[in-house]
Amino acid sequence: MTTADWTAILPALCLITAAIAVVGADLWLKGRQIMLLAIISAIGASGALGLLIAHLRLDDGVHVAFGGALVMDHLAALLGVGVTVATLLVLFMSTTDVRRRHIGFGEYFGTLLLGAAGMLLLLGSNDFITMFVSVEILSISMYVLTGVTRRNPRSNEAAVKYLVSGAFASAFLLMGMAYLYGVTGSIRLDQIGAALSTGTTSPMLIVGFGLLLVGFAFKIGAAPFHMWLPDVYEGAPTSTTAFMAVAVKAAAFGALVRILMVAGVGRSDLWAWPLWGMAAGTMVIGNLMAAQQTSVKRMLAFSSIAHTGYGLVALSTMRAPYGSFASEGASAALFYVFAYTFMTLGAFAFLIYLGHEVPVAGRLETEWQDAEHLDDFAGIARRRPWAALAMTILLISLGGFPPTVGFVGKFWLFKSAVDQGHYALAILGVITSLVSLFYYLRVVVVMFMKDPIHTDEKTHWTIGAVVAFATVATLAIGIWPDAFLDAARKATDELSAPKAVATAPAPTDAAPQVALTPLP
Amino acid sequence: MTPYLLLSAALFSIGTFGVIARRNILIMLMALELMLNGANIALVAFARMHAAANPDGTSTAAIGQVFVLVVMAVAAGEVAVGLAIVISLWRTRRTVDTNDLQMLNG
Repeated sequence: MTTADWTAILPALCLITAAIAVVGADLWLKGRQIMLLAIISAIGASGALGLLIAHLRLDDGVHVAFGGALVMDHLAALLGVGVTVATLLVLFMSTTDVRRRHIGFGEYFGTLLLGAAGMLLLLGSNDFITMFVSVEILSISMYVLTGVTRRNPRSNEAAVKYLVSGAFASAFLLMGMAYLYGVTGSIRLDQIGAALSTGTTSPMLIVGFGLLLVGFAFKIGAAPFHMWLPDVYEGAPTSTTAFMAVAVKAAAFGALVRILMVAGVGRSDLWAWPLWGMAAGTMVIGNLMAAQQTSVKRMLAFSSIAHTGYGLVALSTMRAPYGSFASEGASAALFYVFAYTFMTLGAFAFLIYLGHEVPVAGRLETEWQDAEHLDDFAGIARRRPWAALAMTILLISLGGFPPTVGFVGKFWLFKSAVDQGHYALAILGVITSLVSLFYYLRVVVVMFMKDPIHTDEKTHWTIGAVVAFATVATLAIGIWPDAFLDAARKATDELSAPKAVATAPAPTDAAPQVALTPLP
Repeated sequence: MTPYLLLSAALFSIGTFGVIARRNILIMLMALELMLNGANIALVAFARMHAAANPDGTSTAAIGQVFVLVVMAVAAGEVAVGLAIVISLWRTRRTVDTNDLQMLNG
């Protein structure tokens, strides 16, 4: 293995090693010593985070590894930082949450780390085999994490729904990949991009790209392929939901950006208008449905659909109405997805923070219940003013107010839309953002103005610390966003630089442009 | 070439229909396998086509077949986890029918 190979795969290897170590140690410890397992996991995740930050700081170009199967560039590193930070925060709060829910520690931490490893691989994957396998690694891990509270019927139901829709999406992805391989004769994104930019058009190409987009739309939860998402987010244990909402979305978005900018760059006619439609539909549906929810957890699920829509706005505006191409939109989308990590993770952590115990019907035990309903938030500000303030900041950021990171992100999104002449999308985005303020601020009103209904929440400092960290990050990146904006811009510059990938060890076979001829 | 692609498209469509129309989760999982196998047949057929188109460039053709092997392994893993999830659903709910999955209002 060359240095580039190690650079590209080492962050994922850290996580995988830690996962194996955790599962193995759990075997010896037989379910005791949760802190030891948590520390092993945290060491692995911190190692990955350190390597990714080192790559961002060193800034030594694109590393192409394994004959072009995997790359390490700014896209992989920036969103990888988001994913590993989310992993660390979820690990930190699950030391409390896992114990309360009577989940096995070893399998929870191990699956979480493997899922995160799949995400890092997906962010760096540059060919279809790597991409498909890493999508499956992360998806299968998430199915398990969704159903990890095995005795909870809601969690089981969510896991089944996620499994069926997720596998359905994977099949679409695979079929799209197969057709693109058929048309271009290659599975490497850069070679496919070169083959497509000659302007071939065949029905198979259109169908293939369409299937690929449908598969990704399922994974990121874009309308009209979002039906599974609210149910799954609602039924999964909240720490899993938080992880799904931020890390899975970041990884799938990163992979989509890479496909569009490397394989689809010359053919924005194939994907720009479908994405435009999805972006508009997703923003409208996500926000309108979120406004009708009384369960805050479900409201946050729909709001995550809405935020997917904002990200898609930026991607679809890479192609201007008159056909020119600009990569600004992609960097706005990358920054937004990165920024979204902190505010959403914090908001979901707040639901766990206010959790309480409820008796199980027919048994002499209690089970853990997170604050999900609006009533659970009533009057929180009187008893826990700091926590309520933190949640207010997170919600304001989700709604897109300054001085938070949500505002900076949305500003760049809509700026890229206006710059490229997509006024309709920009206006729709601003209007739906105003709608979103209604349901975000409703939670704030309930927290500050209503009389308390429950007072039996059992807070724990680990979860409070996660909320606090997310809030501080939301404010800090909102006030000093430059470093992250630069990284996002560099990511798209690297992707659109024609020769980013050509520095790879040259493949022995050039991508042939093969016409569809009948077999002898 | 065309017959293989038609077969693959037919398998994929039958699978898609099965996932959408059937209500039994086990049958839905089988339909998902059909979809993946449809894609596999397309991959193998394309690999053969590219091999015939440029006889000396072996690796482009072989990659399709490698892809199929990888997909088979992944599909096996997915079904293993899927069946485990279905079993744990059966233990708490005594059903494998999606019409009964109404706890999450969606």
